[in-house]
Amino acid sequence: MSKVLGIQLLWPHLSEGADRSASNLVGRFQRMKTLNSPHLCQCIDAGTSSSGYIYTVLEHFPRTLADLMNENGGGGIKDPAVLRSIALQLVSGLEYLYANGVAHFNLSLGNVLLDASNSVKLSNYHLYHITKGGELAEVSIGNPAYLAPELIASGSLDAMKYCHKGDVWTVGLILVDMCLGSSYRYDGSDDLSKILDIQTMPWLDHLHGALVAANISPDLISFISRCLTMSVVERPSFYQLLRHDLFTGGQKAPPRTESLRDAQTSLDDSDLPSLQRPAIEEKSIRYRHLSRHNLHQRQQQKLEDSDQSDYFLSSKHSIYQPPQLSLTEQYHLHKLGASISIEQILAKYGIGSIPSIDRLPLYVSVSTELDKHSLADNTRLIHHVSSYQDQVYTFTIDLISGDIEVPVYTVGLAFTDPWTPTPSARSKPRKPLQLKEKNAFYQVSRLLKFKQIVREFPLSAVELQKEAAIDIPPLLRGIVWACLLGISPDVNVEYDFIDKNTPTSADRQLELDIPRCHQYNELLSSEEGHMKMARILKAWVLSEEGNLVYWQGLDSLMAPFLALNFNDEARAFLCLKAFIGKYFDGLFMEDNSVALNRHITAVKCITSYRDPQLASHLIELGITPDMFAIPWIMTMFAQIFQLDRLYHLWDTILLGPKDFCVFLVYAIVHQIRDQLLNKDFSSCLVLFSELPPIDIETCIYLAVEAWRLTPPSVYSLPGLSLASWVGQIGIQEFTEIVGRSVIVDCRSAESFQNHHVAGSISFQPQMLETIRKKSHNYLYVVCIYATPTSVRGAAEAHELVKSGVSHVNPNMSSQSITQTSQSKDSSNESISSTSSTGSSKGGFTRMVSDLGKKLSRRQEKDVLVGKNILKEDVVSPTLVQSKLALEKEKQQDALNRKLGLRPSKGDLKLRNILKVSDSNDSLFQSNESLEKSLNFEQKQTKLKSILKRRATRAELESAGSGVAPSIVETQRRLSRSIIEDSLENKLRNRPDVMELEEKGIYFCETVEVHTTFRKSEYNRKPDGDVTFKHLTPQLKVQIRNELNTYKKNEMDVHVDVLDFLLQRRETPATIIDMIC
Amino acid sequence: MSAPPTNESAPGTAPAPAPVPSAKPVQVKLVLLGEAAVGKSSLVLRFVNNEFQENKEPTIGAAFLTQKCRLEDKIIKFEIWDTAGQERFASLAPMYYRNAQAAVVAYDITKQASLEKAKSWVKELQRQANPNIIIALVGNKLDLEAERTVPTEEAQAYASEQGLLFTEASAKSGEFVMEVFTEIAKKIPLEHLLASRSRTGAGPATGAGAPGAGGANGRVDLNQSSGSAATAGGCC
Repeated sequence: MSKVLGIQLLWPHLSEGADRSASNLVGRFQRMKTLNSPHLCQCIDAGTSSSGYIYTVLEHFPRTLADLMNENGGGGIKDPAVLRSIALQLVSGLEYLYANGVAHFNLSLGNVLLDASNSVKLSNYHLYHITKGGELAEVSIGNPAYLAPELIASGSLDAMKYCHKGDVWTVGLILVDMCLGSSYRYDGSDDLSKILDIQTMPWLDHLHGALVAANISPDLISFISRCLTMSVVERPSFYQLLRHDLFTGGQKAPPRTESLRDAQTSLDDSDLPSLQRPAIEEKSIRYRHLSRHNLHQRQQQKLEDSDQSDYFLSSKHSIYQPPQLSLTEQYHLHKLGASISIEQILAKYGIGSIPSIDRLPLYVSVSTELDKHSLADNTRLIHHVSSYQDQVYTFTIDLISGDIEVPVYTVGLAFTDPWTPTPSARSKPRKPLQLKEKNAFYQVSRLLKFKQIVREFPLSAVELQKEAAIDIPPLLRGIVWACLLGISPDVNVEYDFIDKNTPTSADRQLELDIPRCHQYNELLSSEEGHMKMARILKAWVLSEEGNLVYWQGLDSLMAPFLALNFNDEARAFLCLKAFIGKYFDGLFMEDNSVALNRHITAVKCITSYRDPQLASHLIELGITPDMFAIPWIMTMFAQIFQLDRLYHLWDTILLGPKDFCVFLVYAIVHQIRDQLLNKDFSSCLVLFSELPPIDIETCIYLAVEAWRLTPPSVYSLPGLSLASWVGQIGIQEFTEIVGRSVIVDCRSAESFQNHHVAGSISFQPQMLETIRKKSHNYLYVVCIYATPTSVRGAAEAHELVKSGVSHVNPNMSSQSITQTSQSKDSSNESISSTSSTGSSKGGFTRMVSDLGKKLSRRQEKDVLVGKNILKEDVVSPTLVQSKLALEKEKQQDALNRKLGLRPSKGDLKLRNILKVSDSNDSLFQSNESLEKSLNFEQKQTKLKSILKRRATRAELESAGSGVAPSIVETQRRLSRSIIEDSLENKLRNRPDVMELEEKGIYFCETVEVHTTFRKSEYNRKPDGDVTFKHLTPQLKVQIRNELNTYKKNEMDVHVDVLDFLLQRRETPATIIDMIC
Repeated sequence: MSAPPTNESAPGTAPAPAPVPSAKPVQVKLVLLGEAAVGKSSLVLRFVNNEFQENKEPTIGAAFLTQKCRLEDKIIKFEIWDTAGQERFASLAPMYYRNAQAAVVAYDITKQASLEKAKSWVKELQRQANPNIIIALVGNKLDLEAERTVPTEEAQAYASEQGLLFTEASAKSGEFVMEVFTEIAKKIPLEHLLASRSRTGAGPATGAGAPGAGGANGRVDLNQSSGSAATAGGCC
């Protein structure tokens, strides 16, 4: 299957502000894309070609009404049925346009196209609207031969704004031409003005006679003369015309065929001659969403819906059909592989680029050689000189169907894995997004998949997450994002209820910011775009009711949502609101310093944990993240990346956890780390302001990896203060990395003597080298401090980093990531205990530079040590003891958990660890080591007992035939026997046959088979002539009453049931609801 | 207008190929303040890159740029903090003007209100910033002479009353932008700065801790300024 599309060129207005007019045109065109009626050529695309033209792309059909007449020999068309049908389709197409506030003003025989089944397709209806009546571009609007007298009299296109019935006149003239032949009015002589002169009252009388003479049906004649009413006031509107006797045959109801509101058609059924719709089905589905809002509103909404959701709407017709690709989508898919390039198509027609001199403003082209054709087709009479023609350049695209071979690109990133101490072997996905987005076939499959998912949203939420993690098809990004933010595709009316006109305090700032927001984007720089932005932002400010306020940057945040949902402000608004609610905890409050500090601190901690060398460098320079990261965080990078790249970033952010943005900051910083390391204060900051090109995918990959590899306590510990640059780690997580860490104890030698983590090294300046060497064999280096968190306090760690403990090797970055982490003993209990006791017991700050890789395993012990210190130093034995008990419990829990997780391997590991620590214990003579060994013994015994309790396989096997050798099997049997038992019980309790008979329950001895109907045999579609009413509350009550009366008085029921029915009749509403 | 006043206009690269071998650039910290959309960023952009960008996006937080100028035999390196104009960001401003040796307070000659805002910034600077700070009042958008609502005399009078440098300039056309910075450079006590700076080369060696504490080295120290209100977390 293929489809013809037509390109039209517009010449940007060669006057002041020309630079803007192109984007304004494109901006105004967006709404045209949402118009979708069986009698309109679908508007598909508009833009500026690289050769300098503004183009529009519309669905196109090669045959016009003029052709149809020529086929008839140029004379009139006599068949009344054809005339009636064309009149009807013309009027309904135009009525649809007018209902949407669009005037055509460009109607002529040549602009009315016919598809293969002779259905009318109006074309060129967009020109008047998108050029603001010719204000924005030089374009031929209004064929003089068809203009209404008032338009000609007014002499300017401006006046057209006030002549909203002009098209009605034109329809009349078109019908005259069709009845009498086009030469009746205008014989092709050059003197066009003649026919304008003759359109007077006497001419109309004369025309009437001619129509009668030509045997035209009286209905049609009356219709035509209604159209050709001189007085604009008396001339009927299209809405009234639809109810003309010609169509209704004298009956009141407007013709059904047109089903104007069912404008949405998927590509396949647009070619169907009949426009019958399964209206019931559609309505019943719509009622589902009806809850509070009346139907009318919803219908309006539907009309205004963007093209992005048209599949959604069309799905309402046939919800079980697989999703289809709309024509617009087909077009964009073809554009992907550059299999369509506007420039190439135009080149085929001999249109090169506009000479640059012609693009200069204020150039007026005056053509002296106007051929007859252009004279006839252009509006020279009322518009100033223009040699530009009403030419359509067509091209054909082959439609892509759903069943195609799809290239498989795999695995997205997942936020499902919890943090792990070891880097994953997973490598960066090496199929660049851009490649995927350029592959039309891949996109087709993604589009169809996502359409299905969106259609089923919110039921499909889980699948949505999964698929979105792979990638999001650009054509559906707007709606997919909305779903990811939990917004139902069914439009919410909240937005409409917000008063966006009354001035607010934010207006002044908005006025200043909006004209500066992402102006490189054609849509956002258009007038339409500015208005939409202002409305959405105002609505946001109002809807937050002062909880959140407008900060500069919010405009940038909103821009992507608007650009993606340009035709659906309400959705853009809801997305913005949900997005800010979800990811900007507190950043847009009147006082955002707390939230801002939290983010900044998190960036610091993550950086120093993941890249101690860099962190240490930045500390030395005195650079903190608030010097560069505020705009990044407050706009979620919308200000530093252009929209096309931002989309990819946000695709990930929308899937990620709330605080993911700080990891992206880290990822960006990390990408320029090598440059940063060589620069001084100001050069670093300049580098931050003028970022080198950042690869978004690398950025995302790094951020996700960083997120996965960073223990949550590093960036979310409650005690973090703004001043600290040092990463700290919670005890819980420290225990997990202890085995892979070199632990440097930076407390005083005395404290170290008293208690320390087994295997830790007491820090001495001369030991730097030792530590550095040792660090090579470990993954982390952890420093333990008594006083938590000041940078000052972490001097040793800083020194370690400087001395090259960091063996950050960029090549092995995923394998051996250097981590600086400072662990103070940070779990809540320990903090509280410290505060109760005073001095040095509490904090073990770990600062680990590159060394940091190795030390981590022993954190648990640290904690223990800390506790021990408490015990000894302080005189609060009970406290300490309870602490210890707590600690032990915790360890046991952890053990149990581990056991649960990896029954066999885990055991082994644990035992190994135990052994190691046993030997370590012997090295220390202090209490704490004893304490520890005790602990380990406990663990050991526990483990052993667990192991002991378990019967060996041999035992199980020898236990005889009854016992299955494997536990699983046993379990299965057990559960089976339980089920059997319960079944048996049930059987036993079953009433026996005798009892049943007593109760009088019998089964019919024969089986009756009722015939059913296949689809083909029984047409479930509703009668086409049926009209529907809105389900108003009154109607609802009425239906309910009728049903009740029926049930009460007429319905055949058993006498015994009658009482019951009468009782229940108070609540028949439930039944009604189900019907609805 | 004059060419960019440096021989090396790309900021942020290797140390300047100083014409006089021994001349180390003198760093001058300069902060730009003023109402939203008066053209602060555009002024800096004109000064630093000699370019103009229509519809420059709003600054959020602050932006940092540098530019080197030669004044007589000395090289001056401006470290410019270009702040956000929106009122809400005003609370961040102190950490940018702290220790600044110079400030440019900009207003829009087509908007009377922006001059009022400028005056309040001047007041704040005089009250809270470094007492020796050089303040320049700049009326931007001179290219929109036709739409002017702020008479030159009015601003001039205010400037001389307060002892400020005063210029009207246009970031769009580039008129008088360089002059703003040249005037500032002339007024700054370079010798003094040079002397105080040369005490130590880098920051405190062990001082992972207090970068800004080194005294008049003019860097923004965010730790000290805003942070204190935040969690006093780690103390024990």
